[in-house]
Amino acid sequence: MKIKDGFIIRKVAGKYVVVATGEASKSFHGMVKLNESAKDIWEGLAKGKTPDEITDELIRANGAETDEDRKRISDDVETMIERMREAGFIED
Amino acid sequence: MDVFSVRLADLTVEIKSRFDYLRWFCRDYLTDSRTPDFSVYAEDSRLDELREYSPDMRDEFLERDAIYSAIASKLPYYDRVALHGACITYKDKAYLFTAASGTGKSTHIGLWKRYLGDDVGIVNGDKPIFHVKPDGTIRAYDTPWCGKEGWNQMKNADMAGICFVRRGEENTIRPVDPGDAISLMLRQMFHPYEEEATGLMLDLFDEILSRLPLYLLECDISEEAVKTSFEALTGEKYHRSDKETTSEEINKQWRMPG
Repeated sequence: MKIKDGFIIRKVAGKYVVVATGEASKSFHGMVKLNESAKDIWEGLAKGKTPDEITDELIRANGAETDEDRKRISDDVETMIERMREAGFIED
Repeated sequence: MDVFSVRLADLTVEIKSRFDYLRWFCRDYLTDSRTPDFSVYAEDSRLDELREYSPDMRDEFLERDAIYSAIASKLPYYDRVALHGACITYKDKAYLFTAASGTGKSTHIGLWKRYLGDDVGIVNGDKPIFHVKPDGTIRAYDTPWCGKEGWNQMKNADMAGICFVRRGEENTIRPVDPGDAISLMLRQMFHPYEEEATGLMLDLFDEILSRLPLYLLECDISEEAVKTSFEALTGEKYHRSDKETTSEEINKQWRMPG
């Protein structure tokens, strides 16, 4: 699973913004704004990490100690990846 | 193949073109300089892409628009960006009105000229270029690409504000937080072809949003609309000019000859 080629992520006015370039811009004309954890998930996938690795990293980074917190982070990662897939940002 | 150079936003751009029309279109911008900052050519594939959107457009006009895209794609490497909007001056400060096509940017800047007269000038009515300068200022530049009104004067000025325009029943204006302006403005920014240039464009976009006052204007086409945007943007009290400028006079002063 990876992010398709041609998407650029940058911090603009304090928010993370993704736009398409080159071939990707032909199918995706708009932009998406990401919050901090969505940005971490995006960048993780862009670096070739698996969803499980990204989840583990976020759990560590957030100091999530209870099972509830871990479950919440795991669900967030899953939801975000599902949304990214629906939006056509991901290829398997 | 015709090869010539133009001076655009303080850069020298070499253009290779198929049709004589392009040299004529750029006639006021020609330069003898033999040391261009960069060179552009409109690939056939770019013309084909544009043809998909405008199947009835003649090839020389497709080339004109494709050359604009090719230049705009290179600008971020030189700390410049291309934006869709109408850029005017008031007492030597530049203000950009931006919105989707058909919102009424040209109508609004025409009203400024009508009621405020000689203090109002045009930089470019459709596709100005902005230089994000290292000294912290942003300079607006004219270009020969100036939309259907053809409003363009060969002048440049320091930017003092950006105004997003929406049609409204009443005339209101409010400051916009840079974070909330991202989606309003990114749609009107030219997105380069190349990945690296796109990244640079976004960095310049970030600078523009942080350096300039941003406003959201909802307006109709009355004098009140001018008063509303004028007072917020310039900080001055609205004062109507002694004499109204007619639309014939506006075109005479603002339209590129030819």
